[in-house]
Amino acid sequence: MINLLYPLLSKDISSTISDEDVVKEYLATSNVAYFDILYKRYSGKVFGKCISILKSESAAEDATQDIFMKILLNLSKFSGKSKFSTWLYSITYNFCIDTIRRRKKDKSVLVDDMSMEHDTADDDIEDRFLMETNVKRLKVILEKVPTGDKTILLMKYQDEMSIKEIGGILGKSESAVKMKIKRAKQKFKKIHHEIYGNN
Amino acid sequence: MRVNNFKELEREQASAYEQKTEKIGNSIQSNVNVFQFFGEIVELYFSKVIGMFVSVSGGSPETGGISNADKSRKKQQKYPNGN
Repeated sequence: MINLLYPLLSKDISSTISDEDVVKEYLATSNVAYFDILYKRYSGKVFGKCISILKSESAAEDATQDIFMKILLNLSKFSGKSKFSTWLYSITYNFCIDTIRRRKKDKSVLVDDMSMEHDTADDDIEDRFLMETNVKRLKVILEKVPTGDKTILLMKYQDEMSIKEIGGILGKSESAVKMKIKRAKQKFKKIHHEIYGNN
Repeated sequence: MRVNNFKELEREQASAYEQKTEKIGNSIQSNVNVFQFFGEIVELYFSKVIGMFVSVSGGSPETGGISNADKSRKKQQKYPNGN
Protein backbone atom coordinates (compact mmCIF):
# COMPACT_ATOMS: atom_id res chain seq x y z
CA MET A 1 0.00 0.00 0.00
CA ILE A 2 2.05 2.90 1.32
CA ASN A 3 5.36 1.38 0.20
CA LEU A 4 5.12 2.93 -3.25
CA LEU A 5 5.27 6.40 -1.77
CA TYR A 6 7.63 5.64 1.07
CA PRO A 7 10.09 3.03 -0.17
CA LEU A 8 12.39 3.59 2.77
CA LEU A 9 12.31 0.53 4.95
CA SER A 10 13.97 -2.73 4.08
CA LYS A 11 12.17 -6.04 4.64
CA ASP A 12 14.73 -6.99 7.29
CA ILE A 13 13.85 -4.04 9.46
CA SER A 14 10.12 -4.45 9.08
CA SER A 15 10.19 -8.10 10.10
CA THR A 16 12.42 -7.78 13.15
CA ILE A 17 11.47 -4.46 14.74
CA SER A 18 9.02 -4.68 17.68
CA ASP A 19 5.64 -2.97 17.55
CA GLU A 20 6.61 -0.57 20.30
CA ASP A 21 9.79 0.43 18.45
CA VAL A 22 7.81 0.92 15.26
CA VAL A 23 5.53 3.33 17.13
CA LYS A 24 8.55 5.20 18.53
CA GLU A 25 10.11 5.48 15.08
CA TYR A 26 6.84 6.67 13.58
CA LEU A 27 6.47 9.35 16.23
CA ALA A 28 10.07 10.46 15.77
CA THR A 29 10.08 10.56 11.97
CA SER A 30 6.40 10.79 10.92
CA ASN A 31 7.35 8.35 8.19
CA VAL A 32 4.13 6.61 7.16
CA ALA A 33 6.10 3.52 6.14
CA TYR A 34 6.31 2.68 9.85
CA PHE A 35 2.56 2.84 10.11
CA ASP A 36 2.37 0.55 7.12
CA ILE A 37 4.34 -2.07 9.08
CA LEU A 38 1.74 -1.98 11.84
CA TYR A 39 -1.06 -2.07 9.30
CA LYS A 40 0.36 -5.15 7.61
CA ARG A 41 0.86 -6.91 10.93
CA TYR A 42 -2.59 -6.26 12.31
CA SER A 43 -5.12 -5.37 9.61
CA GLY A 44 -6.13 -9.01 9.01
CA LYS A 45 -6.57 -9.66 12.71
CA VAL A 46 -8.55 -6.46 13.24
CA PHE A 47 -10.73 -7.20 10.23
CA GLY A 48 -11.31 -10.74 11.54
CA LYS A 49 -12.45 -9.42 14.92
CA CYS A 50 -14.70 -6.82 13.32
CA ILE A 51 -16.39 -9.35 11.07
CA SER A 52 -16.84 -11.77 14.00
CA ILE A 53 -18.53 -9.13 16.12
CA LEU A 54 -20.37 -7.05 13.52
CA LYS A 55 -21.34 -10.03 11.34
CA SER A 56 -21.27 -7.99 8.16
CA GLU A 57 -18.42 -7.69 5.70
CA SER A 58 -19.16 -4.11 4.67
CA ALA A 59 -19.54 -2.98 8.29
CA ALA A 60 -16.24 -4.72 9.09
CA GLU A 61 -14.53 -2.91 6.19
CA ASP A 62 -15.77 0.48 7.39
CA ALA A 63 -14.85 -0.36 10.98
CA THR A 64 -11.32 -1.49 10.06
CA GLN A 65 -10.73 1.70 8.11
CA ASP A 66 -12.03 3.90 10.92
CA ILE A 67 -10.06 1.98 13.55
CA PHE A 68 -6.77 2.38 11.68
CA MET A 69 -7.43 6.07 11.02
CA LYS A 70 -8.08 6.43 14.75
CA ILE A 71 -4.85 4.58 15.52
CA LEU A 72 -2.90 6.78 13.10
CA LEU A 73 -4.25 9.97 14.63
CA ASN A 74 -3.78 8.76 18.22
CA LEU A 75 -0.43 6.98 18.07
CA SER A 76 1.11 9.71 20.22
CA LYS A 77 -1.31 8.71 22.99
CA PHE A 78 0.07 5.18 23.13
CA SER A 79 1.93 5.23 26.41
CA GLY A 80 3.68 1.89 26.12
CA LYS A 81 2.26 0.70 29.45
CA SER A 82 0.58 -2.22 27.72
CA LYS A 83 1.56 -4.11 24.59
CA PHE A 84 0.74 -2.30 21.37
CA SER A 85 -1.52 -5.19 20.31
CA THR A 86 -3.53 -4.89 23.54
CA TRP A 87 -4.00 -1.16 22.95
CA LEU A 88 -5.01 -1.75 19.33
CA TYR A 89 -7.45 -4.50 20.22
CA SER A 90 -9.01 -2.45 23.01
CA ILE A 91 -9.72 0.29 20.45
CA THR A 92 -11.08 -2.36 18.07
CA TYR A 93 -13.44 -3.88 20.65
CA ASN A 94 -14.62 -0.50 21.90
CA PHE A 95 -15.31 0.61 18.35
CA CYS A 96 -17.28 -2.57 17.54
CA ILE A 97 -19.23 -2.42 20.81
CA ASP A 98 -20.15 1.22 20.14
CA THR A 99 -21.19 0.33 16.59
CA ILE A 100 -23.53 -2.41 17.84
CA ARG A 101 -24.95 -0.12 20.51
CA ARG A 102 -25.65 2.54 17.93
CA ARG A 103 -27.15 -0.01 15.58
CA LYS A 104 -29.48 -1.43 18.22
CA LYS A 105 -29.92 1.84 20.09
CA ASP A 106 -29.68 -0.28 23.19
CA LYS A 107 -27.15 0.74 25.75
CA SER A 108 -27.31 -2.57 27.56
CA VAL A 109 -25.81 -4.51 24.68
CA LEU A 110 -22.64 -6.36 25.69
CA VAL A 111 -22.92 -5.36 29.30
CA ASP A 112 -26.07 -7.37 29.63
CA ASP A 113 -27.47 -9.04 32.69
CA MET A 114 -24.74 -8.11 35.11
CA SER A 115 -27.47 -8.14 37.72
CA MET A 116 -27.27 -11.92 37.54
CA GLU A 117 -23.73 -11.70 38.81
CA HIS A 118 -24.43 -13.87 41.83
CA ASP A 119 -25.85 -16.86 40.07
CA THR A 120 -24.33 -20.09 41.13
CA ALA A 121 -22.59 -21.42 38.09
CA ASP A 122 -20.68 -24.17 39.76
CA ASP A 123 -19.57 -25.88 36.59
CA ASP A 124 -15.97 -24.78 36.10
CA ILE A 125 -15.09 -25.42 32.50
CA GLU A 126 -11.42 -25.84 31.85
CA ASP A 127 -9.73 -23.41 29.48
CA ARG A 128 -8.26 -26.39 27.67
CA PHE A 129 -11.72 -27.49 26.58
CA LEU A 130 -12.19 -24.25 24.65
CA MET A 131 -8.66 -23.85 23.37
CA GLU A 132 -8.42 -27.43 22.10
CA THR A 133 -11.71 -27.35 20.24
CA ASN A 134 -10.65 -27.71 16.61
CA VAL A 135 -10.72 -24.65 14.37
CA LYS A 136 -13.61 -25.83 12.22
CA ARG A 137 -15.82 -26.41 15.24
CA LEU A 138 -14.60 -23.24 16.88
CA LYS A 139 -15.84 -21.24 13.90
CA VAL A 140 -19.26 -22.90 13.99
CA ILE A 141 -19.70 -22.51 17.74
CA LEU A 142 -18.53 -18.87 17.83
CA GLU A 143 -21.09 -18.08 15.13
CA LYS A 144 -23.81 -19.29 17.47
CA VAL A 145 -22.56 -17.78 20.73
CA PRO A 146 -24.22 -14.40 21.49
CA THR A 147 -22.09 -11.41 20.47
CA GLY A 148 -21.30 -10.25 24.01
CA ASP A 149 -20.08 -13.69 25.02
CA LYS A 150 -18.13 -14.15 21.82
CA THR A 151 -16.40 -10.82 22.35
CA ILE A 152 -15.30 -11.71 25.83
CA LEU A 153 -14.08 -15.16 24.73
CA LEU A 154 -12.02 -13.57 21.94
CA MET A 155 -10.51 -11.09 24.39
CA LYS A 156 -9.53 -13.84 26.80
CA TYR A 157 -8.42 -16.67 24.53
CA GLN A 158 -7.48 -15.04 21.24
CA ASP A 159 -5.90 -11.85 22.53
CA GLU A 160 -4.87 -13.26 25.90
CA MET A 161 -5.97 -10.11 27.69
CA SER A 162 -5.90 -10.03 31.47
CA ILE A 163 -9.11 -9.79 33.51
CA LYS A 164 -8.11 -6.23 34.39
CA GLU A 165 -7.66 -5.26 30.73
CA ILE A 166 -11.02 -6.77 29.77
CA GLY A 167 -12.63 -4.94 32.69
CA GLY A 168 -11.07 -1.71 31.45
CA ILE A 169 -12.59 -2.14 28.00
CA LEU A 170 -16.04 -3.16 29.19
CA GLY A 171 -16.08 -0.76 32.14
CA LYS A 172 -16.70 -3.62 34.59
CA SER A 173 -15.14 -4.80 37.82
CA GLU A 174 -12.79 -7.77 37.79
CA SER A 175 -15.33 -10.00 39.55
CA ALA A 176 -18.02 -9.07 37.03
CA VAL A 177 -15.65 -9.91 34.18
CA LYS A 178 -14.80 -13.28 35.76
CA MET A 179 -18.49 -14.09 36.06
CA LYS A 180 -19.11 -13.03 32.48
CA ILE A 181 -16.27 -15.25 31.24
CA LYS A 182 -17.64 -18.14 33.24
CA ARG A 183 -21.07 -17.73 31.69
CA ALA A 184 -19.65 -17.33 28.19
CA LYS A 185 -17.73 -20.58 28.67
CA GLN A 186 -20.91 -22.32 29.78
CA LYS A 187 -22.76 -21.11 26.70
CA PHE A 188 -19.87 -22.27 24.53
CA LYS A 189 -19.96 -25.72 26.11
CA LYS A 190 -23.75 -25.94 25.81
CA ILE A 191 -23.67 -25.10 22.10
CA HIS A 192 -20.79 -27.52 21.58
CA HIS A 193 -22.82 -30.24 23.25
CA GLU A 194 -25.94 -29.43 21.21
CA ILE A 195 -24.08 -29.67 17.93
CA TYR A 196 -21.43 -32.31 18.54
CA GLY A 197 -22.71 -34.23 21.52
CA ASN A 198 -20.01 -35.52 23.80
CA ASN A 199 -17.38 -35.88 21.06
CA MET B 1 3.52 -25.74 24.19
CA ARG B 2 -0.17 -25.57 24.94
CA VAL B 3 -2.64 -25.73 22.10
CA ASN B 4 -4.77 -22.66 21.49
CA ASN B 5 -6.99 -22.99 18.47
CA PHE B 6 -8.36 -19.48 18.99
CA LYS B 7 -4.93 -18.27 17.83
CA GLU B 8 -5.03 -20.67 14.90
CA LEU B 9 -8.45 -19.32 13.94
CA GLU B 10 -7.07 -15.78 14.10
CA ARG B 11 -4.20 -16.72 11.79
CA GLU B 12 -6.57 -18.40 9.35
CA GLN B 13 -8.86 -15.38 9.26
CA ALA B 14 -5.97 -12.96 8.82
CA SER B 15 -4.69 -14.76 5.75
CA ALA B 16 -8.19 -15.23 4.34
CA TYR B 17 -8.86 -11.49 4.53
CA GLU B 18 -5.54 -10.36 3.04
CA GLN B 19 -7.08 -9.02 -0.18
CA LYS B 20 -9.82 -7.19 1.66
CA THR B 21 -7.36 -5.48 3.96
CA GLU B 22 -5.25 -4.40 1.00
CA LYS B 23 -8.28 -2.61 -0.42
CA ILE B 24 -8.97 -0.96 2.94
CA GLY B 25 -5.28 0.00 3.12
CA ASN B 26 -5.55 1.84 -0.18
CA SER B 27 -8.47 3.84 1.04
CA ILE B 28 -6.62 4.71 4.27
CA GLN B 29 -3.71 5.83 2.08
CA SER B 30 -5.94 8.20 0.14
CA ASN B 31 -7.32 9.60 3.40
CA VAL B 32 -3.77 10.15 4.63
CA ASN B 33 -2.92 11.94 1.37
CA VAL B 34 -5.91 14.26 1.77
CA PHE B 35 -4.89 15.03 5.37
CA GLN B 36 -1.33 15.71 4.26
CA PHE B 37 -2.52 17.98 1.46
CA PHE B 38 -4.68 20.06 3.80
CA GLY B 39 -1.90 20.06 6.39
CA GLU B 40 0.48 21.53 3.85
CA ILE B 41 -2.08 24.13 2.75
CA VAL B 42 -2.60 25.21 6.35
CA GLU B 43 1.15 25.30 6.97
CA LEU B 44 1.74 27.41 3.86
CA TYR B 45 -1.09 29.88 4.02
CA PHE B 46 -2.34 29.99 7.59
CA SER B 47 0.37 32.39 8.80
CA LYS B 48 -0.30 34.66 5.83
CA VAL B 49 -4.04 34.73 6.53
CA ILE B 50 -3.38 35.58 10.19
CA GLY B 51 -1.01 38.33 9.02
CA MET B 52 -3.71 39.69 6.75
CA PHE B 53 -6.21 39.84 9.62
CA VAL B 54 -3.66 41.63 11.79
CA SER B 55 -3.04 44.16 9.01
CA VAL B 56 -6.76 44.71 8.48
CA SER B 57 -7.26 45.34 12.18
CA GLY B 58 -4.60 48.04 12.12
CA GLY B 59 -1.51 46.19 13.28
CA SER B 60 1.62 45.25 11.44
CA PRO B 61 2.36 41.55 11.11
CA GLU B 62 6.12 42.23 10.78
CA THR B 63 6.27 43.95 14.16
CA GLY B 64 4.26 41.40 16.11
CA GLY B 65 0.91 43.17 15.65
CA ILE B 66 2.11 46.65 16.75
CA SER B 67 1.81 49.27 14.03
CA ASN B 68 4.79 51.53 13.20
CA ALA B 69 2.85 54.59 14.40
CA ASP B 70 2.24 52.92 17.75
CA LYS B 71 5.90 52.00 17.95
CA SER B 72 7.17 55.55 17.42
CA ARG B 73 4.56 56.90 19.87
CA LYS B 74 5.80 54.50 22.52
CA LYS B 75 9.40 55.44 21.79
CA GLN B 76 8.57 59.11 22.22
CA GLN B 77 6.83 58.47 25.53
CA LYS B 78 9.88 56.62 26.78
CA TYR B 79 12.34 59.33 25.68
CA PRO B 80 10.22 62.51 25.46
CA ASN B 81 13.29 64.68 24.96
CA GLY B 82 15.24 62.30 22.75
CA ASN B 83 16.13 63.05 19.11
